[in-house]
Amino acid sequence: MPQAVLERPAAPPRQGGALLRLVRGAALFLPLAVLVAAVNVTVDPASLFHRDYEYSVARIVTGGQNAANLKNMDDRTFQRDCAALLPAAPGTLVLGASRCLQVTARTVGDDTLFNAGVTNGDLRDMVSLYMLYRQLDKQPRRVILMADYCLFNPAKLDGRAYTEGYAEFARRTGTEELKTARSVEKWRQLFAPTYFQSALAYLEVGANRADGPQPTTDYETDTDMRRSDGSYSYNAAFRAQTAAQRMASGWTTAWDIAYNMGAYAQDSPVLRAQFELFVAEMQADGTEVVLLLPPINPYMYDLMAADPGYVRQLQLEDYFRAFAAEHGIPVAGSYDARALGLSEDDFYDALHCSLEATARYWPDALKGAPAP
Amino acid sequence: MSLISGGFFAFLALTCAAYYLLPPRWQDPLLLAASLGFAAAAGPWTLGVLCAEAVVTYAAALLLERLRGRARTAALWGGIALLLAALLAFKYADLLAGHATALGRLQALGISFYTLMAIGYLADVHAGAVSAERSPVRFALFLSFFPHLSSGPIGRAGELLPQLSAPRAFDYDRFARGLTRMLWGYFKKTVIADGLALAADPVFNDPASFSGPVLVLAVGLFTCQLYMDFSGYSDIACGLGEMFGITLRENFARPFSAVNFSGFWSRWHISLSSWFQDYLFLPLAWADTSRLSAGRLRRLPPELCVAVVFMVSGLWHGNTWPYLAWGIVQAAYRVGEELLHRRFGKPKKHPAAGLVLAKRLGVLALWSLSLVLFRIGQQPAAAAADCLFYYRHMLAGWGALLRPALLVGQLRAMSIGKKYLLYMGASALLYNGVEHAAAGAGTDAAGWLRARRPGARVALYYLLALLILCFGRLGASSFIYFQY
Repeated sequence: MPQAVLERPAAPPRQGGALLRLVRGAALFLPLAVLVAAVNVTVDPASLFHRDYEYSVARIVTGGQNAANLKNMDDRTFQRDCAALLPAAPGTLVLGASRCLQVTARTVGDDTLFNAGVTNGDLRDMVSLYMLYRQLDKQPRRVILMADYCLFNPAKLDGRAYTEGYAEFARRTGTEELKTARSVEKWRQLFAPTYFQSALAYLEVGANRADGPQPTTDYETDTDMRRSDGSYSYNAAFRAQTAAQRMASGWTTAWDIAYNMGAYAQDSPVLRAQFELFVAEMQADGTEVVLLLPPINPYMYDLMAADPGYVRQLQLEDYFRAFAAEHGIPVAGSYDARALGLSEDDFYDALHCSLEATARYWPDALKGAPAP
Repeated sequence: MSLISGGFFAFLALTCAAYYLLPPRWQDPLLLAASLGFAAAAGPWTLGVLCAEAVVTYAAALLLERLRGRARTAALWGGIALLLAALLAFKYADLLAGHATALGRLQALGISFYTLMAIGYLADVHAGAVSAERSPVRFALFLSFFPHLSSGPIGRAGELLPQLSAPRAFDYDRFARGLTRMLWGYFKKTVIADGLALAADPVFNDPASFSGPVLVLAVGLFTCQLYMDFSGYSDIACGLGEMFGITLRENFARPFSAVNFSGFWSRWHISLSSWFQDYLFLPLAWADTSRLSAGRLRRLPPELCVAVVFMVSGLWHGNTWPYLAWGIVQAAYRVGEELLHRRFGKPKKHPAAGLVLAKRLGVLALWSLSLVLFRIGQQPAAAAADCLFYYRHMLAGWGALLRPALLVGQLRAMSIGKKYLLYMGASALLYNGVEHAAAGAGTDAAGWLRARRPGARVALYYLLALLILCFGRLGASSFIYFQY
C-alpha cells in the first residue's frame, strides 16, 4: 500500500472549538462584571440609578433650609425637582456652571434669588432650565447668566444635560439641536470601572446615603451643603486650602487646564447663535438679563494667556462685553481676577472664586431685588 | 482614544471579531481601516500627517528601486528630509520659535515613532535589505498598525512586512496570551506606575515645599514609574499585536539588571536604541570623512558618534532644553564608561556577586539622577534652572530625618499613607514575584501566568483585575511616552 495513503492529512483547525474556548474564558470573568454593576447600583455615588436623594435635598432647600452633609448628586435632577417644588417664582434666577454657585441671595441682596447652577453646565442646561421655569409659570424677573468658555465649546457639551427645553428652543428658532445621550450615559456607568472606584471611595469614607442630607440653618458647615437659595457651600477642608497647598497638589498643571476646559480655537457658530437668540427671547419675555463673567485664578489666567489653545477663551470677554453693551445688558465680574482686585488666595482652586471674593467684586449697581 | 477607556475596548472587540470572521483577504484592509480610525480619533492632524508620511515613504521607496546613482541618493535624502521636516514642524516649532506657537499646539500622536519607522524603511530599501513594498494597503498598515502607532515599539520593515503578507488564522493560545500580556501591562501601568506618580508628582510640581530626603525619594519613585509606565504600555502593545497574530519588537529586557550603561541601553527601550544604533550610530561611525577633513581623518571618533546619538535621542524625547541636557548626560555616562575601560581595561567577565550588585546600583543611581532632567523636561515651559533648583534642593533639608513629624507630613502631602503603602506594597510583591518566577522559567510574565494550572491562573487573573479595578487610576491617566 502506498505510504501516502497511510498518512492522514492533519485536520484543519476547528474554528468553532476555539470560539467555544474563548466564550468559556470570557464567561469566567462574568462574576467580576456582576460585582461592578452591583456595587455601582447599590452605592450609586452620583445618584444615577436612584432618584430619591435629589428629591430629598430639593425638599429641604425649597422648604427654606440649607441641606448639609451632601454627597455627590445629580445636579440636573436636583434643579428640576427644585423648579417644581419652589413655592413661587424666583425674583432672580442664576443660570450657569459650578463657577456661578457662589452667587448667593446675600451677595446680590435679593432674598428671592435662586441659584440654578449645575456642575459643568452648558448652554443647553441653561436654556432647558429657563424654559422649565417658564413652563411651570415661575418665570423669573431677572436672570444672571454665567457667560464663559463653557458656552461656545462644542467639545464640552455634558452628557448629563437634560435637553428637553433646549430641543424645543432649537426647533422653534430653526437652529441645529446639539445632542448628547443622557440615557446612554447613565447605562454606560453601570459597568464603568471609574464609577466603581467612586463607589468604593464613598464606601471607604462612610459616605453612603444612610446618613442622608441634614437640614440646617448654618450658613457654612464642615460638610458640602446646598443653601436654601440654591448656592453651594464647599466643605471646610476644601475652603481652607491655601494657594500653596493647592499648588502642591498639582492643580496648576497644563493637564488640569485641558481637563477642565478643553482647548479650542473657534467658537461653535451654532452655540453662539443660540446664545444670542436665547438672550433675545428672555428679553422679549420681559426678563432682565445680567451677564456674569466668572473670574479665573490669576495663575491659571496667565497660563491660558500664554497658550494659543486658550487665548480664544479669554478673548470671549471682549465679545460678551460688546454684546452686553449693544443690548443694554449689565455685566458683573471679569475673567481677569486682578482687574477685580482679587488674588490667588481668593480662589478655592483654579476656576472657582470664593464666596467672600464673589461678594467683594459684585457691583453695587446690581444689588437688590429686580424691579417688579 | 485612550488605551484605558471603554471606547477603546469596544473598538478592540469589534475589530477583533471582524478580523477573524471576515475572509483572510480582508484582514489587512480591515486592520488598516481600524488603525486609521484609531489615528482619526486622536485628531485630524494625527490622521493627516500619518497619511502624508505614508504616501511620501511609499513613493520614495518605489523610486529608490527604480533609480540609480546620484538620483537614487537624492530620492533617499529627499524622502528623509520631508519626513524630518514634518517631525520638526509638529514637534519642535515651539522650541525653535522660543514661545508657544499655533503649530506647536497641533497634536500629531505618535509622529516621533512612525517617522523613525519610515526613515528606517527607506534606509533599508536603499541598502537593499528589504524590497520596496508594492501593496499600498500593506505598507500603510505597516506604518499605522494601531498597537504601535502611539508609542511604538518602533518596528522594522524586515520583521513586520513578511508577517503582514502571511495569512493569520485565529490561534486561541496566541490570542489568550496576548490578552494576558495586556492584563499584565494594564496592572503595571494603572496600579503601579500611576500609583507611583501619585506620590512623585506633588514633589516635582513643587520641590521647594519638600526636604532633601523626600526629593531623593521622589526621584527613585519616578525612576520606577517611568519603567512601569513604558514597559506596561509596551506589554499592552505587544499583547495587542499577538491578538492579531503579529509579533512586535520587545522594548525591555530587565534593564535594571545591567552592570554598565552599554548593557543598560541594550535593555531599555530596545526598539529605539537599536534604531539609533543601526540608522545613526553605524552610518556615522563608518562614514568616510577624508574629503571633509582633507585626508586628516578617515573616520569620526566613536566617542563623538556616541555623543551625537545621545543628544539626538534627548531631543527626540522632548522639545525642551532639559531633554537635550538629559541626552548630553547619557552621552557623558556612555563615553565616560568607554574611557574608563580604556584606562583600566575591560572588566572581568565573571566578577564577584558583590561587585555585580554594586555596579547595578551604581548604574541605577546615575540613571535615576539623570531622570530629574527627563521629568522636569516634561513640563512645557521647563528650563535648566528648574532642574538645577531640584538638584540643589536634593542636598538640602536632610535634618528632616531627625524630625519624624515633618517627614510624615511631607509623605502625607505625597498621598503616602497606610492604605497607599498597603496596596502599593502588595502590588510590588506580586509584580516582583511573578517577574522573578518568569525569569527563572525563562519566559515573560504573560507566559508564566499562562503556564499556571487553571485554578491558579484564574485566581491570579482575578487578583490582577481586582487590583486594577480598585486601585488603578482609570480614566484620568495617560502614558508618559504618548507625548513623544
